[in-house]
Amino acid sequence: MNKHYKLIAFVALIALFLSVACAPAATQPTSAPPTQAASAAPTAAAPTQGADTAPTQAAATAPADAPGATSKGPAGVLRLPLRPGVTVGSLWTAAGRHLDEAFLSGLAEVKWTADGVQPMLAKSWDMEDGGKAFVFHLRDDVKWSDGKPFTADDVLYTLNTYANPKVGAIHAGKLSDIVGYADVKDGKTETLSGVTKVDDHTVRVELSTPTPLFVELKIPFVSILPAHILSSVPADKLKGNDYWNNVVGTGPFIMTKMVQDQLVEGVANPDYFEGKPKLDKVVYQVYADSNTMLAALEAGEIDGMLFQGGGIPVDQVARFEALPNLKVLGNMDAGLPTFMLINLNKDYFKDVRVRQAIMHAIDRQTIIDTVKLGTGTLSNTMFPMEWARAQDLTDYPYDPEKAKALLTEAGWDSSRKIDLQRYYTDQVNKDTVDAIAAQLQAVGINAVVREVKSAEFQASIDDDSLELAYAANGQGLDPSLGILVTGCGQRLSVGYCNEEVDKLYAEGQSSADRAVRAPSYQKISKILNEELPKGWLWWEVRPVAFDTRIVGLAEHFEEQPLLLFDIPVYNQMHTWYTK
Amino acid sequence: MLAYLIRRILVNIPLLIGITFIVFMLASMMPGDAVLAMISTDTPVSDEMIKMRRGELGLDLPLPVQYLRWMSNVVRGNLGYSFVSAESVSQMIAIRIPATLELMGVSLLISIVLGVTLGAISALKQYSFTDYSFTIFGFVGISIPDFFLGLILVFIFAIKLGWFPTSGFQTAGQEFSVFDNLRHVFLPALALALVRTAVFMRYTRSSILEVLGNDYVRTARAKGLKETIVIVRHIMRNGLIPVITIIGISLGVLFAGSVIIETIFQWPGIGMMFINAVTGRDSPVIMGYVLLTAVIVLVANLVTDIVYSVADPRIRYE
Repeated sequence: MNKHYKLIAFVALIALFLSVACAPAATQPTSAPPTQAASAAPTAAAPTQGADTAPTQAAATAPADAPGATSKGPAGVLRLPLRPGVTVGSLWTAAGRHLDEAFLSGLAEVKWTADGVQPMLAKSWDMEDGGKAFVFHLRDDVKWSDGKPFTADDVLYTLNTYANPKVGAIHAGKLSDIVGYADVKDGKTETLSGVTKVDDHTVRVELSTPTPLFVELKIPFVSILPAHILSSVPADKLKGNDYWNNVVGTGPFIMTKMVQDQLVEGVANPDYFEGKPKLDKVVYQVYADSNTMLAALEAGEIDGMLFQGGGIPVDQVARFEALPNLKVLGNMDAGLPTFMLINLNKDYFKDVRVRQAIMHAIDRQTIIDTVKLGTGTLSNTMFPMEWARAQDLTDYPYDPEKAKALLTEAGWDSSRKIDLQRYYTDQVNKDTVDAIAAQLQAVGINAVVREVKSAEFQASIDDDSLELAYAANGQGLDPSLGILVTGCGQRLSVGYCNEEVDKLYAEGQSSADRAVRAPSYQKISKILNEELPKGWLWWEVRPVAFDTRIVGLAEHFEEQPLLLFDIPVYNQMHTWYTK
Repeated sequence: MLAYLIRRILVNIPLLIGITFIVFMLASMMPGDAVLAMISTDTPVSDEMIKMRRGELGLDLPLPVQYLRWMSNVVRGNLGYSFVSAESVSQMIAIRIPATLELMGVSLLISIVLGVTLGAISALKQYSFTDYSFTIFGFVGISIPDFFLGLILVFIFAIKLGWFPTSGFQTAGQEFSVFDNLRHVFLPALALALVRTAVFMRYTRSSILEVLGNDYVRTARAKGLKETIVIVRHIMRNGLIPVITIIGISLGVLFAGSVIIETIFQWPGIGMMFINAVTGRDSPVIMGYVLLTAVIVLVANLVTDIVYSVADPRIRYE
């Protein structure tokens, strides 16, 4: 009897461990099939699929052979994931700005439909002199969550704070058009002379150059802060101030709890100026590892997957689609041009024929069809929005022979080892870059892939050691953001400078009318297409998924044409509710 | 004993300084700095902002100056402020250490109870079927890395069976309750514990086997003592001394192992803080963590030696 019991226990134990040991092996077929990946990389050794699959990947790519969890969230509570660091405060972290959607408001915010801005704390504004000045008429019925009224003083305090170099706000540069910005930046004063209070609910902002799109392109980056609480805090003590753990705001929710590295909680703001939210509570849960976040989504512990977590890897979308409680937006346009970042300071990349050869060497369509499982759209220039692109762009079809010929003409030295950096760590991107490297090697560009951390990649731009990198850059808001990647002297331009392009970027901002703006960007798109400062690859998708128990969440994201990086998006959060 | 203690503590001080110096240099040699790490690669950021932030943090000073600045603050009991959040590092550690201690405590408890019990049974029934089963379990346990085991546990018990939550410290949006918290700690603690269990088991087994053959055990049995008394008083007491060493040494390993486990399970302890700090090149936080870990390992070794003398009256420190 005793013996039998032990035998059963032993067998059970072994069985558990065998199942444990076998589970990851069974997951392999769900990631990109090795044969397909190999065909995308004809000369490479078959891309490594087996043993050295990252361990964090293994569990997450497990097959969906069980039904998975159904919705089990509490009624009236919205649970969303965020990256760590968000709790620092939105002035300093890109991801932290997503908290502002719940707890703070801007004068105007970008609408989820991405077609302009929604008047928020400013009920309207007048443009003077073709964009030389803006007069904001503020709402007079808004109260901070501590009951104090919102006034023009808050707007003045906020703009001065964002611009102050002692604060070090990540988006300080968005205010560089305001008169007096240079003096604040140089530390001569702490007040922008161009910002004046007309009366308690009117603010005038004067700009140094006409910027008709000031409200659309700059104002959404600024969340209005309460002057009555913060104005007594010295600028250099604002970061780390206890305010960020107890945000007093004007958003649809009031922050009730902030636990570092864990969660942020808020309750509905009964006095929210757009109307009391239908949800009772919002909970942001912090995840350091995106696979942990995916597991939580799969188990029904959170209600959504925002792109701040990196999106769902395309090879895992099918698994999430199988979960009945989730709405998966598998083709979410990330507004994300993806390209080979080329260091044009290096002599050997200066010949445009070398860059043309890079384009012809890479079989982009096959990579999209196989490794990327059909996601993404082939691109021959930068701008993700169609209206900003010229019609007559040159295509660079896959043609290794032509690539070789171009390299020979340009006198390329195929013995030169080229460092190809990759900072993405998921399997699809690993396979993608392996395939690219193999195809470059096939034509005589000896590219060697190296995985780097983001900081290392950025450092290689600073010390000019960068050669090639597989990179992407979010530009969903407006083509004018492209100047940060292709303008003269910009960090991500790495040596590219064409004054005509800079002039066209300036022209593109001289009007608020898309029809007037379009020709400038179309010309830029053609130049970038011909000069190839980057090796254009494709526009990425970032699949996202939402639990349908929250009515409004998935619906709003479904209407969103592309993902917007780094700005709070007005999403009518107060209208969402649980089924 | 006191003199011994003081001597040991004094020896540890230069050791600590050496450790911090080496780690500081290594941390500074990582490519990129806190400012560059803060840039999201997906979002365009201007150069102007980068210069502004770098000056603000004093990252432009020479390395030895940076180290001396840090050291002089540490001597005065100030671990500095995070480059990323501007929080005080000692406060960051103080907030997060209870979670780490809870995780370590629970997993140590699981592994000691299981490891010592199974090891003792294994030894007392040497070459039996039970012994072989436990031996196989031990080898499997030692061979599986804990982070991998953690992912498997999540897959089976959280995603497929739904018995435990996948991650976190408590259920979001609910009031804190001990039961809820224990549900959350179980999987990460188990993942950390199983590897340790196997190690403890093997050590317990071999050390008890050694004791079994000793004369005094035979004498005890010959005196006609009850077998339970022989096992508890004579065999276990002597057999467990080497095991105490292993448990002491494993404290440091457990501390290090919890770094990965905390990240996988989103356990808000200092391990996760450390990983985030490394990715963010947040050197004050990295240094604070390293200093703490070094102190804990050194103290654990010291405590092990002291517990030794309690367990084994033959050992005396003069």
